[in-house]
Amino acid sequence: MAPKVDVKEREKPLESLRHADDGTVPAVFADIGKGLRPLTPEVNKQTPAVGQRVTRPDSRPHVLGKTMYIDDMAFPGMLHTKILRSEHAHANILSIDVSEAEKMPGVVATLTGKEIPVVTFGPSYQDQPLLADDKVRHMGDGVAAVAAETEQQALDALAKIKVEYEPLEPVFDPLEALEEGSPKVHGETNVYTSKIIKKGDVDKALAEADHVFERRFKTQMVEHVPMEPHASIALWEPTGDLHVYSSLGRITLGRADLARTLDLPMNRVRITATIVGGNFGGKNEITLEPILALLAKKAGRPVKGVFTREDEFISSTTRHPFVMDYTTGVANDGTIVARKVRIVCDGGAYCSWSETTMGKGAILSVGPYNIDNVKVEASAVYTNKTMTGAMRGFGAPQVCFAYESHMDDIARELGIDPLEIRLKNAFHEGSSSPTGQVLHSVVVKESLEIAADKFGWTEAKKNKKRGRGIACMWYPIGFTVLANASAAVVKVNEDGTATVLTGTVETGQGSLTVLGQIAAEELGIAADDVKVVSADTDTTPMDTGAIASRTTYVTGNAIQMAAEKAKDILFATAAPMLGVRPEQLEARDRKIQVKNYPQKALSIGDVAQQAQFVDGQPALGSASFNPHTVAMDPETGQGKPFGTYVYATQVAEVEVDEDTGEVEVLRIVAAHDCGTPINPTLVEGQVEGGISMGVGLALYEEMLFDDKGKQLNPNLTNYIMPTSLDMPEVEVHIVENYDPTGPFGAKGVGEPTSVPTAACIMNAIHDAVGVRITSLPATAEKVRKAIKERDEAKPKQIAS
Amino acid sequence: MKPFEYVAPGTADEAVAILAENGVNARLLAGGTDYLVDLKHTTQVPKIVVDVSSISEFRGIDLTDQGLRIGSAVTHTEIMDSDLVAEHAPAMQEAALTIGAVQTRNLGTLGGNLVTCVPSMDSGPVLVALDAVVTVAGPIGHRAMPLTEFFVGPRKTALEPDELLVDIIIPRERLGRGCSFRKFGLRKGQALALVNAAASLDLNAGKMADVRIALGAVAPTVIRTRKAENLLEGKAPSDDLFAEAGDVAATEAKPINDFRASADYRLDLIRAGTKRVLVEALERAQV
Amino acid sequence: MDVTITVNGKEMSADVGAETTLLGLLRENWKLTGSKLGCDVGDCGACTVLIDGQSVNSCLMLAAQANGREVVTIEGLGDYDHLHPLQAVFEQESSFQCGFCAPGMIISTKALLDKNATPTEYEIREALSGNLCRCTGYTKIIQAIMDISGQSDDDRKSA
Repeated sequence: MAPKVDVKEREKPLESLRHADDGTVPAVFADIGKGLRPLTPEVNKQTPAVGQRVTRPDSRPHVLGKTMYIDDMAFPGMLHTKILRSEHAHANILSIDVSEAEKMPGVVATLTGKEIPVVTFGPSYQDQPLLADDKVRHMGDGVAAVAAETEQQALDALAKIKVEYEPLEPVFDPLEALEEGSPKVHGETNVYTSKIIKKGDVDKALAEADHVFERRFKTQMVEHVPMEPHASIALWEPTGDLHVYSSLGRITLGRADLARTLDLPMNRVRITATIVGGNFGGKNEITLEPILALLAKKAGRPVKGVFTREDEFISSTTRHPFVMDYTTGVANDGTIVARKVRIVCDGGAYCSWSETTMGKGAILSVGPYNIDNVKVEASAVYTNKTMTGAMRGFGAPQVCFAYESHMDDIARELGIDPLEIRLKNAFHEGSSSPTGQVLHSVVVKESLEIAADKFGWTEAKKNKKRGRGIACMWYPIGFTVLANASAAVVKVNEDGTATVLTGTVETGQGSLTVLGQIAAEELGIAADDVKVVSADTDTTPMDTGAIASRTTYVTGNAIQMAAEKAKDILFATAAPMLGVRPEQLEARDRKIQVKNYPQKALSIGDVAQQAQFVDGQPALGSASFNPHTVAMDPETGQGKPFGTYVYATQVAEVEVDEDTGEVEVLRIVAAHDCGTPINPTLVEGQVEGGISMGVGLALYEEMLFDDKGKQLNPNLTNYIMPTSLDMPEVEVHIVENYDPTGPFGAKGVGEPTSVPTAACIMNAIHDAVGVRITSLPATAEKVRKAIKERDEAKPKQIAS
Repeated sequence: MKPFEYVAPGTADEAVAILAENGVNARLLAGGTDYLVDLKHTTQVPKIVVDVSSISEFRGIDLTDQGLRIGSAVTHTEIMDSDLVAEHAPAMQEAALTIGAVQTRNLGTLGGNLVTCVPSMDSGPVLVALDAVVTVAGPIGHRAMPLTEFFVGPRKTALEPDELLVDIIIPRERLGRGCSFRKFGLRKGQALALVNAAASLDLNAGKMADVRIALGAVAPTVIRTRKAENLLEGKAPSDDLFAEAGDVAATEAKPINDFRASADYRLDLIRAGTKRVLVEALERAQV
Repeated sequence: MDVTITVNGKEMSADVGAETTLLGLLRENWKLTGSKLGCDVGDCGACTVLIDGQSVNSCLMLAAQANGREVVTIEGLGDYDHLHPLQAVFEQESSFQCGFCAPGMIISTKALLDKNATPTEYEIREALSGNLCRCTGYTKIIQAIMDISGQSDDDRKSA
């Protein structure tokens, strides 16, 4: 099997690093005597910058342990906060008495919901209270907060808060929540949003189809498990302005929410995000911030709040469990002629990101296939469980598990190879999506062929006990229809280096590195020459956030456009200096030069100097970008909900122990489209990481509740996420592609990576032992049970 | 954590005296990898925590006249690195490898694992399958008992409040025999046991002798499945017989339903696990 | 109570409550915030430090248990201009993404390589199984360790 990264590609041999007998060696890349100039690898100095395996600038602080996450920060006089959470899954709050808590040693301030100017928030409906003041709807609801000198003192004080509850009947099952007579979590109905997508005549096509396949699929509630728990610090500046430091992944929205809930003007609210220790969607909205702000105001001191790992499970958002009913009509030759899908999304106690998840899931649920007759009906319902929200994939992993498992069932029933049936039906350039959108830059088939080829799909199995499964997917970039702009500012400094201002937040995916490469490419300089400043609502422009895999595409486009404007100023300055018109110039290799006449050039620094100090025109550009979408028709869902899509295929090889049901995933080969890979190393990293979340979703992870709505495993001991021993070998291939609507042809990659994983593993299990698992996770117990049922169904064979 | 006092006595006698003086207000600390988790979650911390990890009587791995002696404060890593254990009771190293991760094993002790006494403990089954004996120290002196008697119930051992576990001895006659261990968990790394199985036996003239089968996580304590053992005692080994032993062992266990697994599934694991450890124990006995 | 610990080669003392964990002492008292608090119960390994050369979860150790012993934290491995070879290879290969697990992961790697200079891929995975990472799938971390221990991709396959 080919190594996934050619060792020769790494530009520096590693011989020089192996000094096991010496405690330290000089920093890797050149002699230390160069003084203060930071030493960076050669590849960071290459032009052009796009496509280079640039070493991330935040790598060094990470390996030194110097990256400052919120919990590493401290301010003089800072207090610590703990939140008291509900004892019931559904109850009215009759009274909250904090008087005893206030007297406890070290306690400086307390807070309850009624003290918050606007207590509810939410990205679609403002139905979620920061601190519940009249009703609790799941056990993670915060009811009161305490700020004290130490964390232990805050915890001791929580024990003294007296809350009187009037328990109400809860509802936990989403299908039950649909029924008329079920307990109501909010208002008159538990169904709070729904969507329909219709194309062609699905009932007629099903009636006429040669074969009709039906199956129900279910997925479980899982958690993001960022290694860094949610954390924030709030303090009030001497000017009376609020400054919040936060692990939020979306600070523009965060500021809006803070301003709204605290009834403050936006220019008096500042949010600074640092490097975030993992987001995956869970840090997309405020949690503690307004609470800390009010405590800080009362206490007259900075206040820090950090989620415990248990808080992460019980009170931050999770992934929507889906119940999906698929009905597919197929012709004898394997052409899919009709597909009907019904999806019920478990929304948990609050709406949070359900509209988006349900909507996106619905659009994607048909699969990346040309199907003329389609009907999708999706709805989201409230239940008294942890609220579900934004999580990597927004419904796509759930529906992909369903449609790709379903596809394999169809293939096997009709005796068609699973790869062939997909190639037959998959989107191609110009295909029409279920919402009637004409697709461009489509590479589903290429991803199928590459993944299958690199896997060895057509080779005979070396070991008959092994199974192989394939799954492909499509995934959109950016928000569903809604505007999700990013703005950017690019400044060329007088020495030809550049500073980029962006409101996006680095949550680990390497976005700042990629954005720097885009700016560098446009300006003809190297990645090393660009500094990307991010994530402060006072000093960086708005950005819709690290969400929906949009950063490379949307923020990247904004940065490219801003860089182009700065470059235009440089061209306008350089043109008379070189005696040509601006249109005759290009920026490359750190020079502004005449196209086709490299000898007629000026260094970019000289031009920038001239622009700023002689012409009085600093080379500065600002721009914003928003993907082009067209609203979806409310009756049929037809429209152009996204600017672009990416495509991918993953192939898994597994071995199943029939006696125990244990599934071992041996390897996964992935072929992913991201348009132009701005930084192939970072693309690989996203795929490798996404696959680990996919493996978790497939086999191990599940949040479990007892019959009172209390989580049974809100910790990393019993919430089973993959360790290094549980991960298969992963091989990543980037599918060559170019999207003209993206910056230098780039699209995005963050979420698609975990979308097909569960499906290809389930298909591999089916190939290995002939059992179809229709609900995730495929625990060993579940697989074992399915194997026993398989054996009971078989006619008994006479032992030889 | 709420505040408490800490003391690290140098000898077993000192430790016993502290326990006698403080009674239930004193709790023992060896590695702390289980106990500190408790301390962080409890509303009632002890008055004093007694760190026994450096008491010399509780340390060291030796081959004595009695057998292979392992101090109660020996860490799982030390067991894995020990040449003596590798030579005389390698299945103990296989079991130790399944405990948590490296970080846990560097601090966690054999004694701690046995005294915490959760049914899913990983070091118990092999020791039970090798007829291990423990030494306990109290105000009056030392006493010995079979490990099976040391385990009384979930989180309950035969230790009185003023007693400490000194060491664990695998008797001479059980050293070097064919022994195997298998753990079933929900994932490979850092797994808690759903079912543990250990088996050991000698082979005399083609017949199995002194067969021992121990199961963990399927009863209030680690248990020997004596009916399954009796099925095999004195017989020639075969795969079918081992499978039957697995079925019998399943009838002697009382696994529970919990959120990790159902009792039914645990029975399946007992059947599969018992058979596998017997097959492997046999292979090793034949070497 | 008084505890004295040699941290990264320097003797340091503090007067703390016995219930103080080693992690708490390092982060709160001595501002060595490189070791992280991820779960507080020894599941995630973000708090991993070396004590007398062995990796431990410092959140599950009382400061008192480290009294008189030698502790090495991530801060002790290198600084900006002098990276430890491990830090250099992880940096160059962009092995880490959000970086939160990095200090613990690097300490665990050092503990492994100090004991076993040419680990197989399985041995690497085993040694890192106490350090959880949600971003990377562990792939580039393991690749970097294979590279620095002088092992090619072929060595991986044959292991």
